[in-house]
Amino acid sequence: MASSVVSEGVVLVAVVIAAAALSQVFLTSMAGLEHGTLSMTERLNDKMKTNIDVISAVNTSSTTVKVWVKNTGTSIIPATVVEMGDIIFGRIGEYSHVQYAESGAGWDFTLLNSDDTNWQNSETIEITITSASELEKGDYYFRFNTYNGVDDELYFTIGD
Amino acid sequence: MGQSTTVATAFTAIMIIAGVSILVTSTVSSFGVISRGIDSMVSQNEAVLNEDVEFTSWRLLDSQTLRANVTNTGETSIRLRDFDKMDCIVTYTVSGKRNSTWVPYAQAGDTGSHWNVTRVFFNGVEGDEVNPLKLTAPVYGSWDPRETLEIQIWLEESNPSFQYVTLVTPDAVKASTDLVLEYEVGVAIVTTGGTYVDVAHRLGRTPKNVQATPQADLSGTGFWVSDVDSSKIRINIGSSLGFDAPFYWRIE
Repeated sequence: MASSVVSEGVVLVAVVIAAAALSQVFLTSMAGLEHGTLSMTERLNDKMKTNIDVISAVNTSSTTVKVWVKNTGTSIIPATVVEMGDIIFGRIGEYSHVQYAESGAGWDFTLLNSDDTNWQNSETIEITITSASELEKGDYYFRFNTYNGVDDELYFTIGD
Repeated sequence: MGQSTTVATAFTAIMIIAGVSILVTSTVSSFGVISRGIDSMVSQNEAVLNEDVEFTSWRLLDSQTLRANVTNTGETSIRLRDFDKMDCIVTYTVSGKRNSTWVPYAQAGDTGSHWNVTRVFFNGVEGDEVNPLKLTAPVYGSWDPRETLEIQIWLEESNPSFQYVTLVTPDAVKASTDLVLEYEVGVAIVTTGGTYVDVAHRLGRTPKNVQATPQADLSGTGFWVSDVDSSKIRINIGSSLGFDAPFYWRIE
């Protein structure tokens, strides 16, 4: 009888320990799953709130192009994050990625109608693309990708 | 059934309940977040779908100032306080060199290039009834459907030749005008003793048709037009007169 009670007790302790370990693993996994889901949802929400519109593009010299891009979403994008965007630019069929550069060849931007250093809803940035070589006449392609993958594009022509 | 079985069953039940509750919580939370994102997209698209503006006319006030009428042809109102979120991009030439610039909105005026609203019209009459605009500080009111704004664009460049204007609303709805004059009219005077008068025009091209009509009897003296080019026309008379001879002219 006494041995039966002892063995039952041992099994009970073993079951409690096993169940505790299992539940720890299970709950940790579930928490990770929840965290992943929420993180993914937040990113999706951020992307849904981000929207941009390329208004116009024009060459201002033989090596410079100005492009105006409006923030038509509700997300607030700090200027330092705007720099993390990607620009694809060039003659149709020959376009390539342009590096951000505050001077020299590359792209740079200015916040136009903003009171602070954030690119907010309805505000516009003026992007200046400086080419290392002279821009030939022809049809050009411009695309701006924000840090979170939202983009807009524009075809325009450089002529006389 | 021993105690260990009971405990194991209880733990299993607790784990299942905890797991399900975590999943439900995260799913509900995700739906809430996505719902807010969809709301944002829908309201943005709704604004774009219902918003529209259109240039209806324009004129040069002086060599640096352009006045244009823009009508709200959509179904949304744009608050005057949001006009600083509008974009005005002007393309112009100076000494034959083309340039484009983004012009900031400054209702109170500015020393640099700027644009502002000078008047508002509704049904062709100055003034508006709904959300009336007050154009001097403190500014308020809205640009409502069917209302026409007279905007003034001033460029700091000297003697720009305006070519193209694009106006963009805060929701990125665009309106453009090519600023091409279809015709121009005026009065020119061949002064006493003179035999011609040169008339400068702003068509920016050689006129296809030129008309000149004397305002007075020229006593049988003939008149004609010559030297028609992209910047001027010349009105001639056969012989000099003893009085000023004014002519109505029209080119297109």
